[in-house]
Amino acid sequence: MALVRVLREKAVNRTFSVLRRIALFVLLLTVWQLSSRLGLLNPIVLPAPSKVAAALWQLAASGELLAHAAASLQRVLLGFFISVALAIPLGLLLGTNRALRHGLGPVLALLRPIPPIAWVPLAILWFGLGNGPSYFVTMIASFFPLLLNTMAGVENVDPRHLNVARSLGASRRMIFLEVVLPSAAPFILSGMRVGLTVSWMSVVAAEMVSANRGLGYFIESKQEMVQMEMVIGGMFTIGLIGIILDQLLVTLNRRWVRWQAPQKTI
Amino acid sequence: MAGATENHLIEVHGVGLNYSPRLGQTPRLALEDVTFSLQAGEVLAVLGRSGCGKTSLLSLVAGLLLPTRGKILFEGTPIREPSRSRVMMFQSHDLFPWKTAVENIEFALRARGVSGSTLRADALGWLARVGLAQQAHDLPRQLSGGMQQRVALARALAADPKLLLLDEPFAALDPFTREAIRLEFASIIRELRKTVILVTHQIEEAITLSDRILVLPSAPGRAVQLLSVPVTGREYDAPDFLALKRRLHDIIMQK
Repeated sequence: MALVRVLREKAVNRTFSVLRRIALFVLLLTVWQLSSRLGLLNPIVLPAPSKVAAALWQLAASGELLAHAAASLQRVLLGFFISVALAIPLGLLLGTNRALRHGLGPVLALLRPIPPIAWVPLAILWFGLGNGPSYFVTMIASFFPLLLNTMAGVENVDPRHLNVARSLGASRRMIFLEVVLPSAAPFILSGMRVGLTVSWMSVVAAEMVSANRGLGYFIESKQEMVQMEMVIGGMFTIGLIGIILDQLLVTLNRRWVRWQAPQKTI
Repeated sequence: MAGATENHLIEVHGVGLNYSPRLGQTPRLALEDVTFSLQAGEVLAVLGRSGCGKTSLLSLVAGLLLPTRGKILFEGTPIREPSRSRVMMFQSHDLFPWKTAVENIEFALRARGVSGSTLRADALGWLARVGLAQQAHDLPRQLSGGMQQRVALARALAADPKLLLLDEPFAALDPFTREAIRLEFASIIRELRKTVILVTHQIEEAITLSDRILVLPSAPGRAVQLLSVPVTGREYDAPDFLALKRRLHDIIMQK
């Protein structure tokens, strides 16, 4: 009976939490809509949400938005997967090899603060116009969060677990696969989460400069035509896809790292 | 100080340990001139105040640290690295949190080459032995502190070591759980006739569980003392128990 009561209380609390979030969102939209209606906001600078919604509906119905979103997603996912394939093995190598880590440290420290978008001119020179520069920029955007988190994960393996494994006579392979990797997994997944978000933000910026498809290109072209409701619609879509990508990784994180106590997410 | 003799499972000869300092700092002396030996099937308790080097001594025997002076022989061969012949069980929280109870034990079994169809059955057998068959598929975070220590003990035993090294295995438990697990542990160890070095700072624990007690001085440089526990002295109210307890207390408190 007590368990049923606790579960019921939890369900009620969760429902209230969701309702509170929706209410705040609706309140924000209402204030925005009213401000536009009352002429407090310049419709060219910031169109009313109803206009944005209408534009979004029209874009979704025509399939235009979907095509641009698919182009951006393709670039992000490919770039991100290349980054995962390069950064995680390198992070594991650097995390376990102190000499290599110290040797490469200055180079990594120099490259890390460079914003992904600053690579665009070089990327165009190297890969030409088209998808190449976008793949490269999305790859480089997630590379450093992934690399650094993987390294941190390996360096933060609890020495007691390593000692236990060594004391039990585990081989180096067993220690790496069954102690180091699972122990570093939360860090790696956290790096993937940050990396994917940065990749997604960077692809939009890259597409504004060097693409003829994608959400970045879409926003840029609509801004030139002063169709601000379309620009905001495109921004809303970027945010929405960003949330979906992030939630996918949160779900993966929960599944892969089920041994950790549940953690709160935004 | 006890002299080491031949044909012992473990022989510790004049062992000292300095912890390597950072540049510009003086080395910290953790152990000095420790000598003792241990026969197969014996349980030795290492007793001393916090910071006297008990865990360092255990890590040296485990091969996780190397002595800066003296030598440690295991079956006549110097110890240079960890080996599953000398398994160490730590104070607490040393189960792999990403593995279930049974998977933790399987790790120890696989490390010693057990595989195939008997692996799961063997692991479950060890869990049943410590009374946790029902918790086989629980993660460590789902187990109480006492249950976690039982799984850790089962895992250490599953490795089938010749020497079991226990670093204050009951320290993190509440007094009631500690007493229950201590009795359970004593019964398993005696039944399996395991050779054990048990580090503790609890005098009663040392007397009830061990055959001999090695008392480390509170500061390196003072003599290490080795005392035998009379068979008649393992009951809390036995006169031998009380006499030994008083003597150990005096040695430890000696300044």
